Amino acid sequence: MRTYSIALGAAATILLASATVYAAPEQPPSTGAKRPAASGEPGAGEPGAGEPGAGEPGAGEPGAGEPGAGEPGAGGARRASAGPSPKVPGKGAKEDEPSGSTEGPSYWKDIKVVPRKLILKARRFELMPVFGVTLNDNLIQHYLIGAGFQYHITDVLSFGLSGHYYLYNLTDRNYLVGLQQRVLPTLNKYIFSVTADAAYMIAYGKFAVHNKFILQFGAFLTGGVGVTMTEVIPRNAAHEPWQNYNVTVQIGLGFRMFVFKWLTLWVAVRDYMMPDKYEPDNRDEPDGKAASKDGEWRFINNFVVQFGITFFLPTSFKYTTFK
Amino acid sequence: MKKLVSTAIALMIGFCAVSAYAQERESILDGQPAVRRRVMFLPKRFELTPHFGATYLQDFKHSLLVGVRAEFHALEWLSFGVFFDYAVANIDTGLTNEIESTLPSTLNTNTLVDPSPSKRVMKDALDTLMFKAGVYVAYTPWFGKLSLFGKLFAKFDMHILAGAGFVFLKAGKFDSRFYDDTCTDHTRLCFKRVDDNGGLKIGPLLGFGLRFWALRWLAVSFTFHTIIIKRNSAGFDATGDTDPNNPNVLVIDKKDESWENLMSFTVGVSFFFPTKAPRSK
Repeated sequence: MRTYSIALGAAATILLASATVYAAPEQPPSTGAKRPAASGEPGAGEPGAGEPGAGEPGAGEPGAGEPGAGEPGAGGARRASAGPSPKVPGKGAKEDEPSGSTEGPSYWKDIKVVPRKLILKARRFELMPVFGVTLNDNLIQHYLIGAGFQYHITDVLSFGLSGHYYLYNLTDRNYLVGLQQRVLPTLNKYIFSVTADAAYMIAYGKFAVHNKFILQFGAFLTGGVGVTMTEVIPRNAAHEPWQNYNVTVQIGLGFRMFVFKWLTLWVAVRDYMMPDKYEPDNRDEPDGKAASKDGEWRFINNFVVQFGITFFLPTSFKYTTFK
Repeated sequence: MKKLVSTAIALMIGFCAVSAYAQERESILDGQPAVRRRVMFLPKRFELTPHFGATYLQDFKHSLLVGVRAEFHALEWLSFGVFFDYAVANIDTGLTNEIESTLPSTLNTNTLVDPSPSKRVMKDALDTLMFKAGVYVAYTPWFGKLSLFGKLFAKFDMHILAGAGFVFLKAGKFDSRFYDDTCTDHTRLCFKRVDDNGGLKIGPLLGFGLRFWALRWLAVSFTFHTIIIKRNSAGFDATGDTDPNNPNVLVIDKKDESWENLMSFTVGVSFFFPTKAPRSK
């Protein structure tokens, strides 16, 4: 019995000791100690999140697999600084000293201030419902609804398809131009666009909201080729419309905010460039096909602001490097 | 045995207490700021920003702008500002060029039959932006940093603003050689101008902006504004109302104005005073 009780007591003591170690404050490593850094892990000695210092690798460096440590929790909100009251490194240092300075107590090197990317995109599919509105036509405004998908070959590069259907609305100016300047505008309406796209993430970053929580975002360039169907709106209601299928090149710039491992919010401005055939000035041919032969080609920049949410599949992933 | 059990219970209680403490310690960041030792770029500082820019999505004329913005940041997230933009050049939009190319060079010999304006009359009637100004309150809850291509790093903040905007428009010309308010001469357009389409317009101002910090006292600023004003930018009658004494004479007055967005963007360099910016704790 005595042996049994000693063994039980020893086991309990070990448990207590391990729990105490777990609970104990993190001890600073000895001077010069280094931990293995994950790809893109922030530089040592950085005194605070939101303080990019010289040469700091930063949040989500493009091309890096998994930068940083301290993966943010669901919702993308997690504090980046650690420790209840860390000592100020380099106290007394010049105020304009680069914030990434490695001067100061060595334990700063162990503090992770730039979180991991919330989402790793490589080898995942992205499904994206698309909504939007055209920007740059004073006389006719289009609203668009559509969808797209992208396959992310790497964390920064993706290819995919997208398409949308347009709904149109003639503006007040369209009405006023007829009334005030006695002009009947020549207009085409967009029917749909389908493009094969590529996207490249050019920037990653993070921002704090009222210094309470941190959200991560990225910016991407996009480009693609496809086709847009348009239809002439005849100035004379007795005339037939005709349709055009225009080769379209799109370029754009987008912004994406990471919310969960499987969901982002995004907005992008894209320019769909195409040659389009318009009704001739002196059309007297009621038949659409016949009139289209005399149509006037013009080069069109169709600026569109798009927004939506995206879903990533598979919905989860594993980080493969150290925190 | 009793001793053994009591020791074990005491140890388990101790273990649980320590575990609970450990768990509690994990959430010690609750209530802590997201960012420590942050450079406090904004509080209690003046900002002076010379800038240039342009209007966009306008119907008839784009304006190139040169101006200045002054702002006092009372708090980290709250500031008060004013701006003034002078239109140094006005450029016809594509719509204006399209309309101009469609219109005849001269008025019809019988404007009762064809009241289309000539190219010159159409362009003369347009209003022209001279300057705009605004007073506003800005709210800056967001700040952060970004890396571009993993090479360039920048701190930034974003704000939204609201206030009152003031727009001064130069009225379009109303040349009596082309207009007749009695409509006795049918080689001229039958219009009576009660109110011109110029003057000072006041409306709500909305916008947002970004600052990218280069130094603690220097930032590059981007702002996007819209001032919502009532105007008659084309300068002709839009309602079809006529002179009570002469039904052939269309009246141009305030009723022809409609609400429009005067949208603009500016890019500037912001200087901050005092030049020192402390760090947060």
